Amino acid sequence: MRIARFFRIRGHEDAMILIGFSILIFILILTLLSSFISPYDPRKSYLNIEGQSVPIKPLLPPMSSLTFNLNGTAHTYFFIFGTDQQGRDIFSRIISGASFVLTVAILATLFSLLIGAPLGLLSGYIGGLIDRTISLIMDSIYAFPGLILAIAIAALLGAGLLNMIIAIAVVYIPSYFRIVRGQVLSLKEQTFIEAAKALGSPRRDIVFKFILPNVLPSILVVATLNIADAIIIEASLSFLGLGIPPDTPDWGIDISQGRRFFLSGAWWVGLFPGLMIILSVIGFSLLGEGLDEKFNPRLRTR
Amino acid sequence: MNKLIETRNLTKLFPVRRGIWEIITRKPQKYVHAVEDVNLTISSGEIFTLVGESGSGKTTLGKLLIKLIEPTSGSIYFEGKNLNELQSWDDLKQLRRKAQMIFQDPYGSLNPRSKIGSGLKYVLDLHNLYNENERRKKVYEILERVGLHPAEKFYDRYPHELSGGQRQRVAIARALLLKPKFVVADEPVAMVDVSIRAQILELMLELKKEMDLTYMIITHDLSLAHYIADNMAIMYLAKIVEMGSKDSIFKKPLHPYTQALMSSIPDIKVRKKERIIIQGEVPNAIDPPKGCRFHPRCPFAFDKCKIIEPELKKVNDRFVACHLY
Amino acid sequence: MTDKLLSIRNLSVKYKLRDYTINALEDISLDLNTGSSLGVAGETGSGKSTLALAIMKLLPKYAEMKGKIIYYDKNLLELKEEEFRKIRGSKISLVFQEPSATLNPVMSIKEHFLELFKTHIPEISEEEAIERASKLLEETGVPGARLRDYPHMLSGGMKQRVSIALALALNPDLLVADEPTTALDVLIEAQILELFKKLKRERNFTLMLITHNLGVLAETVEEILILYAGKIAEYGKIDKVFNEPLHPYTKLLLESVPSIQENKKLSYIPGSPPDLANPPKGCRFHPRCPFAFDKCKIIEPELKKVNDRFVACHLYYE
Repeated sequence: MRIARFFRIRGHEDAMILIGFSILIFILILTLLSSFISPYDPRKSYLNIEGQSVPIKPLLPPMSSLTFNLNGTAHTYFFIFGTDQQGRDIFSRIISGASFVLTVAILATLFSLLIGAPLGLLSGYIGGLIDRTISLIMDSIYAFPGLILAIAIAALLGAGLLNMIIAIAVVYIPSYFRIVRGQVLSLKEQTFIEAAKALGSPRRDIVFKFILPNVLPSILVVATLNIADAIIIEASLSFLGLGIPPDTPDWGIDISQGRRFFLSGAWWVGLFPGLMIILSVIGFSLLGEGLDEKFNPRLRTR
Repeated sequence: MNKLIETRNLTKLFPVRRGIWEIITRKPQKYVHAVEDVNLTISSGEIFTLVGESGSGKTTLGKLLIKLIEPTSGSIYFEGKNLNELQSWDDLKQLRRKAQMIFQDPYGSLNPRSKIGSGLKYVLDLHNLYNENERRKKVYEILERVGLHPAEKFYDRYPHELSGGQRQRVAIARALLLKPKFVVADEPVAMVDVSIRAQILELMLELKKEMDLTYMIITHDLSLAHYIADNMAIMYLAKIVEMGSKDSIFKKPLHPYTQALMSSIPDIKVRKKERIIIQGEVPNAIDPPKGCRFHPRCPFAFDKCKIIEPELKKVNDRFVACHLY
Repeated sequence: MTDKLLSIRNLSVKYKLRDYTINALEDISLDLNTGSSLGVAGETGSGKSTLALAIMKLLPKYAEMKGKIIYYDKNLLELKEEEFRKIRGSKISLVFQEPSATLNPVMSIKEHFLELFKTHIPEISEEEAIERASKLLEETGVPGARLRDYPHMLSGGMKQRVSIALALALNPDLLVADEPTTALDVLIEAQILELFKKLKRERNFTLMLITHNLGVLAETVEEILILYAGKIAEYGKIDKVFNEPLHPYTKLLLESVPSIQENKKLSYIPGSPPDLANPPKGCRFHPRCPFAFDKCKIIEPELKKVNDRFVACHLYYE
């Protein structure tokens, strides 16, 4: 109860926002400090280290440690989540992977927001032929299943970080377009817009002072939820080997490679990156849903 | 009294949106007849009341008069100047300072994301009136004047924290902040609670006196017109059917539509009433009936009414558009 | 005839919301005799629609009801949903402000009637159902050919006529009409009110008409119940109440409504209706009442019989 009071939690949406936010802060800290926290080089294999006394096997299970001599001093390595098939430290890979995944997801979302929202604003406010044309294009993009579209674009554009971001961004442009356009259409008919015109507001003010502030909360909600989606698409693209070099520390790639060892008993290779994906998606979803309830409250019954 | 507003053959038609198929097959463009051929005069200082049912075009006429929308044809003279000739943004802004509007819906007419005070101050910013410090003071003044007391408290509130009556007070304050001469009030009390209506009307009447306002009050409620109007016009399907002083119209309504309206309003002073029941409903404004628009429902219609549209003509102390006279 | 059809005893309804509780109705008692007509007047938030929904048992789940609604010998509040379903729509029926609340846009008018008849009279044949439906439509002023139409093909007035026909289809004892003419234009409103009066004469059902429009009540009902902030302020024969209102709220309300019969300056009620999550102590009207004295601020007045009616005001008893 005291915690609830401290954080001013009054309803489940506040709790959702708080939990989602905490998860994201946690992941963010991992990302920002990855080069400090990450115990070992995520790309380095520990199979062939000089001075080792015994041959090291790959796929060490979680909580394994290795000790060997290098120039007379003993070195101990501790692999909290184990190592993968190439003998790389999974914990280090996960931490470095976080920054990669988040960068892609957030940038892609930002791109699609910055293209989709203004288009929706323009299309909804001006209407007419422009609106019909843009809507037609957006609807046809929207009609594709997101993942398949992203795969197609990624395959078309070829490998590369930027191409991957573009592929994901294109998928979500219509989401912003549709929500912004829809809201602008209904806002445009509201009396307070008409009242603003009657008071002598120029168009610029109508769009930026009266319409935009009323659309922003929804954009924010959609963006947060989209990041969660984008993480999954990013992982799927990497899982399929589209986009980035295979030794990049990335959750999708790691799952893809780890899945081969599940049956032979090395469950940890794929599990930990998978958990991280789930955790971050939950974080963004909780935050998004919580914000949605906060900004668009319905009648609150007990 | 001198004329403040005069309209000549004022007409507004709204095009009906066509589907792709209708555009391809070149179906003729259809129009909603909102306001047709309206000639009226509003004198300085009067309360002109426009009465009509929904779809009669009364709100459109109100918006035309303050140039919130452009007429399809015809013209409006505001203080002798033809509003069609106002082209520049500055001219329009000058007009905005003189002619304002109060809207029906107190819940939709205030921006939900802007505080009461900043919403009002924005109006002064927009027209660059007073200096920065004075603006806040002016907003306080008007808030107090419309009965939102203490003003400091209401200044920082959001619209959703206010009741319907309080919001309508804010809307009145906003319209009067620019010290206009002419205010169109579109059903100013229709969406306000019954026990609050008289308060709002009283406030509007007081402010009219203080600020030398001219009102055009749009309403569907004849008893409100009876209470507040000096002159009035009754609209049916985009046209004015009867216009004159309130006293003469209430004493002896001439147009059958006015008579029907008058016998239909529910009144607390009348228990068992004899009323003229008008059959049918208002026809579609896209294809209004030929001849007199009221003839399909009129108990007194004769052959001529079905063919020839009656003009609004002077009959004794008023104007009526009916072949009976 | 003074058969009691419906008695409400100490009915209270609370809406339990997460952050607060709204006292929508408190301690409402009234009697409806067979064939009578009662007008319920009040503003937004007075609880008038809650009363209609409570009688119909259509209140949302978060509403908490206390008291009794006795219909013949049954307490409606204790009936199970499946038992009440036999009464709702057949013995007690409701006309809403928006006909769209009754009419399903994807069903034709005919299908509405068929569904209604088949639910309540399973043995009815389709021909008979259709015949009864077209008779009902004619009775409410809708051409029988409209049976094949869908709701969107009808005008607002026609839709309201259809929903009235549906409400009367199974010869209810009690018709509850919640603002049935508010969404309509004046001339159509007049048509519908005439229709109510005609149907009531012919069918002799009991009418409960709920509206904020006092003028509508003046010409339609015999008795009136004035609600203020969830409580009854005044309750009696409408002639008496309108000619000589006793409760200050009724008095001021009547004086604040313009009438074309007279040229009087309107008086008005200061302030605004109270917040029902947090109603004022004592009499709920006291903050707005020009006659309020000390007692009004502390003690809540009970509804008591004063001559020919019931009033809840300290001015009228020692």
